[in-house]
Order: sequence, then C-alpha cells, then structure tokens
Amino acid sequence: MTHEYPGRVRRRTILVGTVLSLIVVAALIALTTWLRIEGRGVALPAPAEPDVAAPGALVCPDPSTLPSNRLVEITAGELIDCPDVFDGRGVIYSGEVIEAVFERGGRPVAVLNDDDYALGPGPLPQTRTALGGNSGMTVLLPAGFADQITHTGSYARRGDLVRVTGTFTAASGMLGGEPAIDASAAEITQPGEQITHRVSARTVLAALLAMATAGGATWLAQRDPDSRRHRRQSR
Amino acid sequence: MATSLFRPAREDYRLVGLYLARVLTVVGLVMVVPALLGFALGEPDPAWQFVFGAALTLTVGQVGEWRLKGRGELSHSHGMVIAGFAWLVAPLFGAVPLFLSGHFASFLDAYFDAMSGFATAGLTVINDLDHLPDTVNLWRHMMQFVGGQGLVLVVLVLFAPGGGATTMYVGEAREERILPSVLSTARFIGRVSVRWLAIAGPVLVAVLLAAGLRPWDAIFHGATLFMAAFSTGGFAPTTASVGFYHSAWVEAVLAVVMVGGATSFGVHYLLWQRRRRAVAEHLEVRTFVVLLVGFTAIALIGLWRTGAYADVTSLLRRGGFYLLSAQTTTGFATVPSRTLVADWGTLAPAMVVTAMMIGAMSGSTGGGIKTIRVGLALKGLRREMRRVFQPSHALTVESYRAGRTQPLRPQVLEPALMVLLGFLILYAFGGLVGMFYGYPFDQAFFESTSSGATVGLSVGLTGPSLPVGLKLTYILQMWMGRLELVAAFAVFGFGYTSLRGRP
Repeated sequence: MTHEYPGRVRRRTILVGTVLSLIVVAALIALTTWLRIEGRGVALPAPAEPDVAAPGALVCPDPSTLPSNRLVEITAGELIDCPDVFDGRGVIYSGEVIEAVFERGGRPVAVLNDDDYALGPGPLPQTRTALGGNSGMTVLLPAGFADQITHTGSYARRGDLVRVTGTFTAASGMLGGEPAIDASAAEITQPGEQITHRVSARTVLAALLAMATAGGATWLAQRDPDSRRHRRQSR
Repeated sequence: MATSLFRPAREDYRLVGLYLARVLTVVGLVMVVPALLGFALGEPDPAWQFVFGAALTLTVGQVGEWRLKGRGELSHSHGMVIAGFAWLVAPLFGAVPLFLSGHFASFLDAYFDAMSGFATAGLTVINDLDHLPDTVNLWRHMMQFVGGQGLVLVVLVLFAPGGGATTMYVGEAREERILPSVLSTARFIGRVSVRWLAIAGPVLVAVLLAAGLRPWDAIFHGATLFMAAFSTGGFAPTTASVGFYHSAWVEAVLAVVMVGGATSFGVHYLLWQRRRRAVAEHLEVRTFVVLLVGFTAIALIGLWRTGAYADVTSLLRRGGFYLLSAQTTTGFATVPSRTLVADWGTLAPAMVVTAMMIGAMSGSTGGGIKTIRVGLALKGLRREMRRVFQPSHALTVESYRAGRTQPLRPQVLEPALMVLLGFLILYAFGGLVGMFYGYPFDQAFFESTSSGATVGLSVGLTGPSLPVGLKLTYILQMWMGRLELVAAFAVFGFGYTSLRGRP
C-alpha cells in the first residue's frame, strides 16, 4: 500500500485491531442469536448433513418391482429424481397448496409441497423449527376443484393439504414441458389455517435501543463537518 | 520471511474504514424500506427485526463516519481494498434480519444468503422459503438489486468523492467508464435501471396478473422478479422459481429483462445514443450472441437426443429459458434442479456449465469470465494462427470493435487472459472441494461454476444441509467471482502487508 502518509502502525496494534474486529463480529452473532431464541420454544436445529456414502446420487426403484396395476404413493423428490420410472404411471400424492392456484386450459394448476412443513409439524413461522428446504410438485387438479381450496400456503397461512390420485407426466405438454401430475381425483385431507404471529418484546426493545444509538451516532457524525478530532489532527 | 512490501500507514486504515462505514450507512438506509413495508403489510415481527438491523448497521456506519472523518485522497490501492472489503462487510450486516427471521439454521447460513444476494448469485440455503414473510423476501431481492448496481457505485453517487473513486469503481468489476467521470457514469447506470424498471416493471405485473396472481401478489412478485432479473440475481419469491407461474408470457418478459441486465452499460449507452450499428459491430455483443445461440443449439440437440421433451414447444421453452438464464448468469429455473441430473443427459448440462463459466457482458450486472474476455482471447488465438501461416517478418495486427475500432494490444489481451485463467482456477477449486465432500464430479463442478460465476442455478446440492466447508467455499467463490478476483487479491495483499509488511 502507500507509504506517503505519516503514522507508522505497530504490528501489535494491527493484531489487536484484528482481534477486536473478530470480537465485534462474534458479539453481533451472539446478540442476534440471543434475540432469536426469545419466546421461540424450539431451538432451531441445523438440518442433518446428507448421507456421506453417496451424496448427490439418484436412488430410483427398479421399475419391475413396482406393481403394474396399482397406484403408487409417491413423493416429489422421487418423481423428480426418477422421471423415467414413474412417467405415465398412476400415483397418489399429497401436499400443501402453495401461494396461488392458477388456471391453465380450463384446469386449476397448483404447486403442492410435500416437505416436512406440509406433512410434518407445520410451517416454520408456526413451529419455529427448521427442517430443510421445500419440495413440491405441480398438479393439474380436476376442473372446479379450485373452489374448494380456501387456504394457500404463505407466511400468513398454512395451506390446505390436498391428496390427489392421477398420472405423472415427466414433461406435460399442457404445461410446456413441466413435470406434473394430472389428477383425476382430489380431496382436501386437512384444511389450512391462519398462522398467528406474535411480536417479540425483546426484538422491539432491542430495535428501540438501536434506533436511539443510531440517532446519537448520526448526530455525532453530522454535528460538525470539522469535528474536534479532525481539528486535533490538523494541529 | 523478508519482504519488500510496506505495511499500510494509519491513514490507509482510516480511509479504508471510513469508506466501509459509508457502505454500511447505505446498507442500513436500504434496510429501512423492508421495515416500512413490514409495518404496512401487517408483518410487525419481521418489521421490528429490520428496524433493529437497520439501526445497528447505521450505528456502526455513523460511528465510523464520526471517528474516521478527515481529509485524504484515495489512491488506486485504497479503492481496490475498499471494494474488496465492502463485499465482505455488507453481507455481514445484511445477514442480521435474515438470521432473526428464523429461516436460517445458523448465522453462517444467513451470511451465505446475504453474500449470494449482494453478489447476485441466487444460491440459497434458506429453510421453508414458501412461508417466508414478504418483508424478508423483499430484502433478499433488494440486496440483489443493490449488489447488481454495485455497492460501491451507490456509495459513489451519495458521497461523490474524487481521486480513488475510479479504482473503487474498477475494483467492483466495472472496467468501463461510460462517461468522462465516474459519478456521471454511476448516475447514467442509475437512469438506465430506473427506465428499465419503469417499462418492464408494469409489463411484468400485467403478465403476472394475466397468469392468475391476485393484484397485490402480482405487484410484489413483479417487483421482486424484476430486481432479481435485471440484477441477474436469480432469487425468486417461491422455491419453484419462475416455474411456479406456469406462464410462457412471464418467462418471455423475464427473458428480455435478463438480457437487459446482462448487457454492458457501455452498450446501453450506445443504444441510448441510437448508435445501432456500433452495437451490432461490438465485439462483446457479437460474442455474447454467438455463444448464446451456439450453446443453446447444442443443448437443445442434447435434450432432443435424450427424449426429455416430446414436443418442440416444450423443448424450446424449457431448454431455451434455462440456457439464457445460465448465460446471463441470472439463475432463474423453470425445471426442478434435480431434473438436470435425472433427465437431461450429459450434453445439455455440459452446455449449461459452459454458458455459466463465460457468463454475461463486462460492465453489466452479470457474472462469469465475461464475453469480452472470451472474444479477446479468440481474437488473440486467431492472430497467433495467422502468424503461423505468414512470413516471419510480417506484422500481424488484429483489431476489434468496442464502440470504436481498436488494435488488439498485449496490454488489453494479457489482463483478459489472466482473469480468464483465474476464473478457471476458481471453478476448479470449488469443484475439487465438492468432490472432497463426496459429490459426483459433474454435480460438484456444476455447483462450483454456478457459485464462482454468481449464477445461482443448482443441481440440488446447495441447500440447508450443505456441509459447512462447502458453504464457506461457495461464499468465497461468490465473493471472488463478483469482484472478478482483482479486488479480492487486493484484500489478501492488504492483510499480508498489514502483518508481514515492512514498517
């Protein structure tokens, strides 16, 4: 870097500065962790790391082992990982209606999530438990079924849980090549609900304190363009 | 070990600290927007989290301003170091409201997403995105928009310094000053972005309404998708990304915005001046178009051979959009991530990786090696081939058009080749780390390239359960890739000379 400026910095000062910076970062993490735990009930566990034996590998069933004349209960992960195995096959699939129901070619279309938030304890804002990412599948629902859907999943709502019976298509011509289940029958197995959220008093208090500190710091920074420190430097 | 490098002086630390404080002030001010939206939407808990995050960030920024303010001109090295550090520090504070939302299992995960946001990558390790508050979702996309414009660029507009401003600008991977001053260039970039927003934003909302979204959802999704598309970021409000809308019109409008974001602001300026011929002859534009068409054609042939799509419309729509998303380094997806591994064979994913590697135009919001460098390298290769067939005393001159006709000089070609090589090493590094964790070669390199080129497409490796070592690797890759390596090396050099330099 430049050496034109006066003011040699000792190595010890640099090391102390580095350690102080790391302490500030650690304090930031500790503070935000403390704010997050309050009133949440369940501590957020880190999701399990993948199977180290074969991470990223596709695990598909042998098509000959699948019953040819029976519907297969299936997950979105299996359908996406093994499209050739399940293409054109009758399937049973359950999932939570997410965000919106569209209409394509006179049929309602929705993404149904079948992850742990949908089929397990519930959405993260409700349970405060991290269970990994979302997984879902597009479903062409029977005509007129959209009227029965009252809740779509979002921050404010847990969506209706729908169980469909239909045929999986790896590339649906009706949806421009999207993998989808063409449902011949559908039923709502669990109606959705509003999620109640409560404001964390600790977060509000911390925010108000931080606002006061920010106001004070701004006043100090802006009160005098030629601050006392700068005048001292000039002298 | 003896060294001839000088240790930075107190003034150097002060200047670097002051400008980092100013970057944080900008980040804190931007954070106020989601806070206000949270209160307006009836999401008070996340709103208060943003108030806290904004106030904390502003406090640090303003304390820095108060303690470090003074005179002193920025040098070239200062600019590089500030740009490098800015992209490490901004995500640290940007991660605060993300972590407080409860959707990230650790602060590292929140930092991963904040880095991915600011670096306009789009990879995510979030839990339950589909139940995320709109407030937090908006922040994810705003980070991408600010990052796409250039963090330092925003600071330049607000604080308008002279001197080392140029190197701060260059350090942020923008080589081309479009107008005589950096400040006027920064303002031009702002004007272009606002004009795109004014035109493409309402069109996007209209097609989302037509697709079947409720009015508020159409506005919200339109705004977030525009920010992600124009900044070639790739975050989306739902896990299914652009595939969620099941709409060719939405994909078409986003495709136009993605190309706009991947276009050099220098080319935008030529378009602004209605110099269409200069645009058509521009080396970077030609390279981008030729590569995009070539990669897409080969990928479509590969997809056709695998039989993944039965009809031409599906083939063109899925394959075409995905390749465009890869080449522009946006990272929007219309097929599930695992489909690439399960159903696309090998040729099409290989073309996706190659397109991601090269990426968008220089001086755009996109990432990757950049098409101008590939264009220059190909010109250099042609010059060498011509030299072989010419008499030894003959002078071989190669020229290219980038606004005006220029001879291909070693001063231009060598840095381009160095950065190109650096990117290849960066991609290889991440790929090797992925394989160390047991992932197959193709998937490890896909994900590594996606993070190094700040694309955001995934074959399903990146998620909350990604091993910590890989999260750290991808964070490093996103940071270095966004800065096109040089400013990152300046940070390493600053650290080294601070500890080992001669006083």
